[in-house]
Amino acid sequence: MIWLAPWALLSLGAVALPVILHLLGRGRAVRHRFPTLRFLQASQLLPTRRTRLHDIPLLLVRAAVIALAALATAQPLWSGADRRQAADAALARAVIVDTSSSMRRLTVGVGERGVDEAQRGARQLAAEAALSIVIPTAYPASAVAGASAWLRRTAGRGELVVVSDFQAGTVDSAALATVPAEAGVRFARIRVVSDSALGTQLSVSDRVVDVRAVHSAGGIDVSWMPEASAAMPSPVTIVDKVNQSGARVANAAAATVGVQLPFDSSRDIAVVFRSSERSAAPVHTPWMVEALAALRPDTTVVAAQDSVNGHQRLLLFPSSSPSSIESATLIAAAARELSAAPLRAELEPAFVPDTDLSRWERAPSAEVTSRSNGDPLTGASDARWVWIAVLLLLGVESRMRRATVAAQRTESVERDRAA
Amino acid sequence: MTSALSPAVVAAIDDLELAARLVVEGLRTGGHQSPFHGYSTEFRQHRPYRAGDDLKYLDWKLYARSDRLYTRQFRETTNLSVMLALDTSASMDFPSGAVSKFRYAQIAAAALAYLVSEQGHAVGLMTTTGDRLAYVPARGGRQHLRSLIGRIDRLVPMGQWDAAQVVARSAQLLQRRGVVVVLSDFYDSEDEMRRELRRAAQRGHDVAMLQLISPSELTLPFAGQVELEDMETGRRLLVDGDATATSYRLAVFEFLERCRSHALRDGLDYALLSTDVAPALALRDYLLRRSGGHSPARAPVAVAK
Repeated sequence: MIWLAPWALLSLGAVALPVILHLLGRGRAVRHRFPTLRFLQASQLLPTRRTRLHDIPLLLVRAAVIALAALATAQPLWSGADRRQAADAALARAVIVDTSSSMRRLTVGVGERGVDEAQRGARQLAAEAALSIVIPTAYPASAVAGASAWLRRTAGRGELVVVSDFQAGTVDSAALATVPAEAGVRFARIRVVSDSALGTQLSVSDRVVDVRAVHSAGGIDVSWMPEASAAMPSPVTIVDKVNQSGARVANAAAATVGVQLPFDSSRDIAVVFRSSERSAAPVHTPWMVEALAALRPDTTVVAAQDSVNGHQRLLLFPSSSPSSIESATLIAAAARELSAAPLRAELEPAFVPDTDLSRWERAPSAEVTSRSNGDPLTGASDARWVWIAVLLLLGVESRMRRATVAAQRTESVERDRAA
Repeated sequence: MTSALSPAVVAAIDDLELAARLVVEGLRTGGHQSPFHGYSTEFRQHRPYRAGDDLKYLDWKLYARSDRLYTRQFRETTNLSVMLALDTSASMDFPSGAVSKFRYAQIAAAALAYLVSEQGHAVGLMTTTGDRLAYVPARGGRQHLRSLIGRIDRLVPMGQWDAAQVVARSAQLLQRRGVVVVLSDFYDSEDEMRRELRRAAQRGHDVAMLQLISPSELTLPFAGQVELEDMETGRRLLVDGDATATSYRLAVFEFLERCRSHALRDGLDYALLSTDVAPALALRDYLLRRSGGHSPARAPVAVAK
């Protein structure tokens, strides 16, 4: 049973009213004509009060009339199995279609405009629902509140769908907070391509680095292009047990692979070529363990650590030649691990991440709640049946009341006759 | 044994004269003679005795002297006047739906009138209709009797009656010493009524109080909370029948006993006529006492709880 106006149930307290009036009132005493009242003393003429209830059936009928009227005012809705099934099938869907300028780009793969694909998808989504509304807007975040208000007024289950390329700012958690808790939320991303790249210049320490970001199907590709190739001291210590020329070659090779960035001097990594020394301890210092995981050296590289003048050093023993590509790559990777500046936090993403969208999505509630406005198909409550019962009981009460009055009159006449 | 007609049967007879006659027949069946005797002692003349003359009027002294029987004749052998004072107040119309006190009084008054008239005496009526006195002079004769009974039959109980005035006028309008018979429940003006009755007796009249009451007035036949309406004043009171019954019965008994004792003290005839007793039996009881002299009236019996 669901009550569409539960506040009206407070009027059930009125059931006590006929009982209270009956007990407090004097009641209608039967009147008799008597020759004289001179023999009745004044002290015996105090009005008496009925402390017992009589004609209980009539009192019960009156109480039932008041109780049913209160229940009918509360607008009951019987939630049977068939009604629940109909409510579940009757999904109300609000579809917000992003029509901003970015949606005019072509979609990836299909080649049509993103807004056209979005509107076609919105029509499909609307046709699948029992009740639907499509809201085309260039500002989807602002339209979420209106769509949520529409969902609150509809019966049954509700769902909000946003069709967009989800550039940063399309939707956020603040806008989605207005969506009713029992309504579902779904996002349909339209992937559009860009014919221009975004470029910027980034100043790192005393060097200027050109950073170029390119939109791609997998996200953003960033390439670092150093402005100058002046030699810089390598943050990675390179040791060649055979001769120092190998170290110089390795340093020069590493410089061509990656950008030299300011390094963290509290950390120390040494790449030792052509050494058979194995007396160093296994790697156990936390930053060294993390650096090794990031480096992911192949199995030919042996890692260890030792202490030099109280300073912990990560030792890498590659088996490759100092001038090889593998050695250059290892040295460059070690240098990046010692970098004091992060590589990928310079540019903010232009789109809402899929992770955020996944976190915000949810399925509509499976229960038909009291928020429903009556029968999901007709919108009406079952109060009319209760009112019919009230009318029937009023008829019964009227007949019982007349019968009681007639019985009292008959009793009075019979008493007079017996007297 | 006299088989008297029940009050309901007698009351059901529309013809009051017939009903009165039946009551009187019931009285005669018991072999009772009229207790009403003329009071006049004025001797008129002697005449020779004829068969059938009342032996009490034989002049025995003259017989002793003359050795012949002579009957004494008085001035008027029909010089007794009886005035019936009938209470027509609303309280007499109780109970409804059964033999009311008023109907019972009508029958008793008509029967007394019939009895008195048949004895050759004069009978009249004093009562009230509304606020006015209604008076029928005391006369004899059959035609007057029928007219009188008809007048009694047309009376309707209503409102209150001035009991003292009715008794006073009854006594005044009786030119000679007569009999004043008051048929009432004596609820109204108790002290004034008693005073006028005493005065009437002091004037030399023979005064009789025939007090009427119904069995339901002896008890309070109501249970629970009831509203009682005074039939004369219209005043209403809410009472608890169960709690009030005992004290009510005691008060009624004291009232009846007071009426009887005062009547006895003042030298009046008194009879309590209950509407559940056959009129013939009730009147016979009264007439027996009257025939036997001024014997004490029967005391009302306290009704058991």
